[in-house]
Amino acid sequence: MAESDKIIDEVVGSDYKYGFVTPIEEELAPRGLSEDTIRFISAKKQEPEWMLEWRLKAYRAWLQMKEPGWQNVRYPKIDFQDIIYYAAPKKKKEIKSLDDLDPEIRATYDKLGIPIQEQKILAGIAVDYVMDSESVFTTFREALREKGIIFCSISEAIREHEDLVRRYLGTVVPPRDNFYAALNSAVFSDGSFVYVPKGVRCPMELSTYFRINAENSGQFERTLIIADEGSYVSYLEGCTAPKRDENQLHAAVVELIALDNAEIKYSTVQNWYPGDKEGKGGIYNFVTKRGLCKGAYSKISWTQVETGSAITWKYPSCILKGDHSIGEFYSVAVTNNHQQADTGTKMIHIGKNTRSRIVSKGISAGRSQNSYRGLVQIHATAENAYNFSQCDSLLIGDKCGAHTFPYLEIKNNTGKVEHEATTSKIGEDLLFYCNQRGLSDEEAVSLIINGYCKEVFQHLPMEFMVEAQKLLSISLEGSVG
Amino acid sequence: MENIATQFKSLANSFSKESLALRKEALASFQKLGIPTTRHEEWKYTNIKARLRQEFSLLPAESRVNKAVKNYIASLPPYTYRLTFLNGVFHPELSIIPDLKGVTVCSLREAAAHTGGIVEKHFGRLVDYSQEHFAALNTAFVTDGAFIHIHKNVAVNEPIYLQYFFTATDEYAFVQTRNLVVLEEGASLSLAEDFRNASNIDVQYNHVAEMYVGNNARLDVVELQLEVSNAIGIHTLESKVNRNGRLSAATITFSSPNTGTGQSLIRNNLTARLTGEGAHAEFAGLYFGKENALIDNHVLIDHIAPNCTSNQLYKGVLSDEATGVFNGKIFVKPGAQKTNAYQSSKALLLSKGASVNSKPQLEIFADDVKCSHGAAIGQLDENALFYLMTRGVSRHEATQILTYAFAHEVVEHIQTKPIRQFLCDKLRDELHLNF
Amino acid sequence: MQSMLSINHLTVAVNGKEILRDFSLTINPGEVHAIMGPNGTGKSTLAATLAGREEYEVVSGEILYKGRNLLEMEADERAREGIFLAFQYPVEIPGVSTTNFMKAAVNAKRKHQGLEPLDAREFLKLMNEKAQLVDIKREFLSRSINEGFSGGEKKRNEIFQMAMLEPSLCILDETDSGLDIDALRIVANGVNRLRSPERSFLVITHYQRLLNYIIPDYVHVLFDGRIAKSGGKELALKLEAEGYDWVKEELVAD
Repeated sequence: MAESDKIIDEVVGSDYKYGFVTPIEEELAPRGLSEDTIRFISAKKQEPEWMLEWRLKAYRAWLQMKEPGWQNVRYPKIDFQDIIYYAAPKKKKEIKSLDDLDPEIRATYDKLGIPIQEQKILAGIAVDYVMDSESVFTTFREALREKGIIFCSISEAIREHEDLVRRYLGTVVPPRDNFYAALNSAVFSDGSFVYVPKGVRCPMELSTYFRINAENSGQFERTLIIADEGSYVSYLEGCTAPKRDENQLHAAVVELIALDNAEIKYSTVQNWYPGDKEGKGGIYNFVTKRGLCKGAYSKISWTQVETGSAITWKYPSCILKGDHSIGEFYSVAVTNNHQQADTGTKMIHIGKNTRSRIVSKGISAGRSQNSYRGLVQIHATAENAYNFSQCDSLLIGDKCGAHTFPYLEIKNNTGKVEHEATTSKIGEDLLFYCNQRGLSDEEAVSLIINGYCKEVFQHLPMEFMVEAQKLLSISLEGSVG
Repeated sequence: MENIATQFKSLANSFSKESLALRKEALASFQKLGIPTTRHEEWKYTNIKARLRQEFSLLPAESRVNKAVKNYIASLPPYTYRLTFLNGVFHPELSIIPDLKGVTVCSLREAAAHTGGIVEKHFGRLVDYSQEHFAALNTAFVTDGAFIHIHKNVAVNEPIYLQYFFTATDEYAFVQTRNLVVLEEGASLSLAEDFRNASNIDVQYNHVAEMYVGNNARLDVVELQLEVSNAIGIHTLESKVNRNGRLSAATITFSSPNTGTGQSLIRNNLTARLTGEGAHAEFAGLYFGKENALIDNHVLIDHIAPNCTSNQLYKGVLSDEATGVFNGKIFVKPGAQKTNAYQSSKALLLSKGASVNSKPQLEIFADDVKCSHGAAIGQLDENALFYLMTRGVSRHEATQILTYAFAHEVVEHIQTKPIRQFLCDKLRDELHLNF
Repeated sequence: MQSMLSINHLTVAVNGKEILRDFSLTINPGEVHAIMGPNGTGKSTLAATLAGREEYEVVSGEILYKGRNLLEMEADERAREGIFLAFQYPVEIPGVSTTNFMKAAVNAKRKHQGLEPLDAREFLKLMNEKAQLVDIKREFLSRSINEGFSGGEKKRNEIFQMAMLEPSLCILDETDSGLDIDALRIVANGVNRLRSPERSFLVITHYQRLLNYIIPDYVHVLFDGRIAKSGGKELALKLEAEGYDWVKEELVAD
C-alpha cells in the first residue's frame, strides 16, 4: 500500500489556496470582552436601545455559562479576552455602486473566485459580502425589492426593519441556548437578513460570502431568514480565511423560520482555513444553526459541505413543529491532517405527520478525527412521524478516526425511525476495477469519493456543486490510496 | 456515603484477608463515584438514582429457602449441573456440582481459600472499578458467587446453570453477587445465569461477572432474566477473548411488574474485549417490557487485536408504558486492522405510552475495517399484518405471530440447544400461540 | 340463485385519487371470471379492495358477498368467511414457518365455523394432502413463510394456502407474473383441481397466457377504472392477438 499512501499524501497534502491576507485598513474594537466592548459594537452599528439591552442580557447570561466539553474534539482553552470582537474594513466613502468598493476588497473576492460583478446576474445569484465583522456589499437589491424580498445585512435590518427583527431574533436560537450562542448574541457584528413575503418564490439564489481577514479577530455573524406563508428561498453561504498561525474563533448563529407551506433551502460550503499540516493555526468553527418549521407543510433543508476549519462543531437542526413539515440534512464533512469535526443534526419531531431525512458522509484522512453526532427525537405529540438516517464514514489512512454517535429518542408508537451507518475504507476491488479501466489511483479515488458524496452534492445549487467537487479533491489531494 | 463506610467496617471481618486491599480500593472509588445521575452520559436515559432505594443495606440478608423457591426448583427440568444462590448466599444442598476431571466449580468464597492464585490473578482485573459505579460497589461488598475454572482442552458437555434467587424480606437489601469464569486454552463451556425474584417484594441486586476466554476456547453464555419483574437489577458482564477464542452471550429479559407499586428496572452492561487475533464475540439481546418496566442494554465490543469479528443483535418489544434503552458501541482501537463488526438493534413499540431511546455508536481508529450498524424503531409491517389477516387470522393474533417472528431471530442465535428450546416455548407461552 | 359476489357502482380511491370508478360486476357460484387490462387501470386495486386492505377507500357503491355487505367486514373476517386473495407479491415473514402459520389460520377459520381445532395429526394429514396438489415438498413448509423463495415457489405457496383454507371465492392477483412455463402449469393445475360448482374464481391477469390453462367463463377488460368490454374466453385471445388499443378506440368511439 506504499503507492496508495503516496497518493493519499498527494491528495491530502495540497495547500490551502485561500490563505492570503488583504492589506486593507481595518477598524478594530479594543481587544477583549466586557460590557464596554458590547456598547462599542452596538454604537458602531447605530443600534436602537432594545438591541443593546438584548446583547447585554445575553452577555450576562454568558458569564454564568460553562464552556461545553462533551464534544469529541480536543483543543487548548480559548482565552476570550484575547480576541478582537469587532474588525471592519475602514470605509473610505459610502458605497452606492460597485465602483465605490475598495479595490482591495474587490480584488480579494476576485482572488477567491467569487468576483463581485454583474456576471452574477447571469448566474442568477444575489450576494452579500461579509468581511470580518461588516457586510461590505450586497448585490441585486433592487431586483429583489421589486418582489418585496428583503436581503440586506443584519445591521441594516435592525435599523430599517426593526419590527421583523424584533419579532423573530432569538426565537429559534435563544441567547441562552448554549455557550457560543450566548457569546454570539452578545457580540454579533454582522451577517445577513432575509425576508421573503407571502407567496413569493425568490427568483434567484441568495448568497453570503464570509471572509475572516483581520488578525486575532473572531467572526460572530448572525443570520436570520424568514420565509412567510407559501414562499420559497434558497440561500448559500461560503467561507474562507487567511492562513495564520494562531487559531481564530468563528461562532455564528443562524436562525431560519418557515411559516405555513414555506420552504427554505440553506446550503453551506465551509472552507475556513484548516491549519497547516502540523495542526498549527486554523479556525475554530463553533456554530449554532437551527431552523423552525413553524407552519404546516413547511420545509427546511440543510446541505453542507465542510472541508475547512481546524475544529468544526455544528449541528444544523430542524424543529418540526408544524404538522406535515419536513426537515432534511445532507452533509459531507472532510477532515485531513489534524482537523477535528464533530458535526451532525437534530431533528425534533413535534407536529403530526412530520418527516425527516439525514444523509451524512464523513471522510477522514491524515491524523484527523471526524464524528457524526445526531439526535432524532419523536415527541409523544408527533403522530405518524418518520425519520430515515444514513451515516457513512470513509477512512483514508490508518492514523485517523471516524465516529458515529446517533441518539434516537422515540416517544410515539406510530412513529418510525430507521438508522443505518457504515464505516470502511475505499474497497480495493473498486480501485482495481477503476485501474483496470485505465484510471490512476488518484483519479479512481476522486471518482469514488465523488460518487460516495453524490447523494449530498445533488442537493446543492449547480454552481456550488461544481465548487464542492473541486474543493473535495483539493482537500484530499495527496491523501489517496 | 458515610453509611457505606460503616457497613464496610462491620463486614470487614468476614472478608478474606487477600481481598481486603482490593475491596478497600473499590470502596474508595465508589465513595468518589457515588450512584450515577442522568447527567452521566452512560445513565442519561436510566434514572437509577431516582429508582434505587438510597438507604440500601449491603449486609447479608437472610437466605432461608422459601416455598416459592422450593416450588420453582421442583418444577425445573433435571438440570445436570447447577449452583444455587439465595440472596447471594451459596446453598450447596440445592446445587448439583459437576465432578469432572479438569473442571473446578465451586463458590467464589471456597475458591478464594482453595484454588491458590487463580482467583487473585483474575478477580477484579477485567472490571474497571475506578470508573464503573456498580462494579466498584460490587467489588467492595461482594459476599459470594460462582467460580468456574476449565482446564486446558477440557470440554464440558452439559450446560452449567448459575441460579440466583431473591427471597429477601427487606426491601432495602441490595444484594451483591459475582461470578468468575476462567477458560484455559482450548476449553469449552456453556453457561446460563438465571435470575429470579422469588419474594413478594421489590428486590434490588447488583451482579458482576468476569469471564476469561483463552486461546481457541469457546464460551456460550445466556443470561436469563425471565422472572425479574419487581426488581431493580444491574448486570455487568466483562469478558476478554484471546486468540481465536469465541464468546457468545445472550440476554433475555421479560419484565412486567405488577401494576401499582411494583417497578422494574433492568440494566445490562456487556463488554467483550477482543485481545487476541482471530477472536470472535457475539452478543444478542431480546427484551419484552410491559407496564412501567425499564430495560436498558449497554453493549460494548472493543476490538483491540487485528482480524477479529463481532456481531450484535438486539431486539425489543415494548408495550404499555415500558421504556427500552439500547446503547451499543463498536470500538476499533488503532492497529485493529481487518476488523469486521456488525450491530443491529430493533424495537417494536406496541402501545401509545411505550418509548425507546437508542444510541448505536461506532468509534473507529483503524482504516482497513468493515463496521456497520443499523437501528430501526417502529411498528409491525402493515403488509405482513394484512397478509396474515387475509388468511383469516385476527389482527390480534397476527400481531402475536409477527411479534413471535420478530423475537425468534434472537432466540435462534442461542447456541445451547436446551436453552434455545426452552426459550422458544417461553416465547410461545408469552404470546399465547399454540403452534 | 344467490350470487357469490355482486359489486355495484363501486368507486375506490387511494390517497385521494380515484382508481376504480363506478365499477360493477357479478359473479355466480362455480364461475371463473378473468379481469384483464393494461397496467395501472385498477386491477390490483380491485383485488385489494375485495380482500379488505385499509388504504383503499371506498368512496361509493356496494359489494355484496353471498348477499352480505362485505364492506362491513375486516380483512380477517372476510378470509374466515371464505374470501382468499393470492397475492401478486406474497409477503416474506422470517421466523414463522408456513406450517405454523397455516395451523393458526385453519383453526381460526374452524373456530369461526364453530368447529373444534384440528389436532396435530389431523392437521398434518390435511397438509400432506393439499401439498400434493401443488407439488410442494414437506420441508418447504417448515421454512419461514416465503423467505428466500423463488417467484414460482412463492406462487405455489399461495395456491397451497388457498387449498388449505378451502375458500368460496378465490382472487388470483397476477398469479402468472414472474412464472416460467413449468411453474405456470403447476400453479394452474392446482387451481383447476380446486374448481367446483360452489367455488368461484376471479383471475386478474395482464396476459392471456394463464387463461390457456385456467379456462374462464367470462373475460372482462378493465380500462380506466371500469369494465370496458366483456365477453367469453375468445375475448382473451383477441386481446392477445391485437393488444388493448382497439378496446380503447372503441371506447373513444362510443
